[in-house]
Amino acid sequence: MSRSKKYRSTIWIAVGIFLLAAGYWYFTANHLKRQFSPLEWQIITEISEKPAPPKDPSNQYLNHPAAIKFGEQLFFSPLLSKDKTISCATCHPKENNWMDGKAVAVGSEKGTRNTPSLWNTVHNRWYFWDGRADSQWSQALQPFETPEEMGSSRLAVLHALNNDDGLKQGYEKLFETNLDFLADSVRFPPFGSPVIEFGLENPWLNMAPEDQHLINQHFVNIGKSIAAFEGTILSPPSDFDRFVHAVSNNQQTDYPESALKGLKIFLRKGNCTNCHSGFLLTNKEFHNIRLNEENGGRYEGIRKLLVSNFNKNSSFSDDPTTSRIEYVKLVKRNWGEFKVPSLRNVLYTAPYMHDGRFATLRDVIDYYSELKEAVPDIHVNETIIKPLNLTEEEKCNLEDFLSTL
Amino acid sequence: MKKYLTSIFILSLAFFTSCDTSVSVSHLVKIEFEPAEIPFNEFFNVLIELDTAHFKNVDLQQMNVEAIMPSHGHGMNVQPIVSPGEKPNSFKASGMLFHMRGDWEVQVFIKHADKLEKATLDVTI
Repeated sequence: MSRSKKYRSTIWIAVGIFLLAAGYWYFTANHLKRQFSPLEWQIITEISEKPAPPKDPSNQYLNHPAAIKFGEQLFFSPLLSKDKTISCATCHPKENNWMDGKAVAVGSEKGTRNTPSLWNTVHNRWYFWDGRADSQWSQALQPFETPEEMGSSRLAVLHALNNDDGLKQGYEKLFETNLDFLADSVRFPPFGSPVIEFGLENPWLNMAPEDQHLINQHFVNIGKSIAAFEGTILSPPSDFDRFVHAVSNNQQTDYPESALKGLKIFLRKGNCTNCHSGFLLTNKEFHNIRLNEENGGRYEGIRKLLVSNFNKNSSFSDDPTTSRIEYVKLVKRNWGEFKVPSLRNVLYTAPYMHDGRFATLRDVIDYYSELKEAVPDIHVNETIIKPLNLTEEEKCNLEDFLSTL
Repeated sequence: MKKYLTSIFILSLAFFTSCDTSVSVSHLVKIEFEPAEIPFNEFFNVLIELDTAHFKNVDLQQMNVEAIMPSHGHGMNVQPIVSPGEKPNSFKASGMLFHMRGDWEVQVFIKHADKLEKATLDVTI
């Protein structure tokens, strides 16, 4: 055989090997995709699809670099709490996926609700487990005046900010204002708020309406700054995202077989995507999963939202037309409903449920599988909360899948 | 999705089924969506046009719009607001939100001539 023939043969063999390898890769990748229906694959890609950059027209300072920087200062500063020891980061530590890992939050006192992680919360529709706030800036204000959290009042918060040179300068520069008016302690007492009971001695009640409005405006600026910072807390791609990206692009993936089985349970037998859908793996709404009928949940949340001075429909919103509270109506079935939590990074955000009653993901799966502790469903007639009756293997698969989110 | 909605609408025109609490008038009510393709878990509007020969002098207080998921036993988590539409005898329900995928039934209730009349349209998201 001549040298040129040998050379051609070698090239053809190489091309053949290359085609075989490419074919193997292509069919292996497609083999994974073919295991799902078109609708299932659509739901899967929606989960891994990165959402558009956050926007909230009610907060003109969202995405504002100086507001983000100042909001970060406020977020980590304990100076604005009553005893100057509690900051937002106390319950939302960065190093622990922006949550405290406790069953219920502990600020100035022990609270009643589990601390949610702050990952991606800028994309929420409602805030708190009961949805009593409709914006992140409105949410950020409430812990200041909650006795179990920071235990302060809006007047005390602004005085504390005014008394710290660093915070005062940052605030006045960002909002192009001057807080020196707070020196008038007759018009602006050291503490007071319309939402905290101080008995007959609540100085807020003696303030002129225009002074109350002024304080509210500055207080809202604090919320908008913190919200601007929280808007930057976006989770990086997960193992699941990398799996979907690889399969979508006909690339090889080392996604665990058990997690793949768990994904199928999530989509099919578990019907989990009824509530856990989209990038956040939540439909951002409220449901009664029969955990506790004694707690008002969304029912109380709606009551508070509708009378809040800081909802998106208020004069403190930078765009009240974006409010959606006119579509919220208090109805009997809201009793016992809680917000569907995001499942992003769910492995790292234990314990679970609004009161942190389940210590592990496995506990949650056991609940949905058997509904052992479920209370009778007396306010709603939903038929989607039924025991899933998962086998031991299915439970493990589902847990493995959830661990990749 | 658009084709599917159109065919569903044609089917709803073709059938006239009565129910216990109301009279079905699906063939006399035109239901469209804004945007035309209903966005999943995003707010949208329903545009309603009543047959002028059957419905006379219908005002806002007589109109109500809801949506349910029959197989789930629940509806929307929001209550739409009905306002006058651009054409005569037309209305717009804003604040609709389908927060789950699956089969939904849009329900338009019209209190008319001492009866509660109901038009429905099945939609799959």
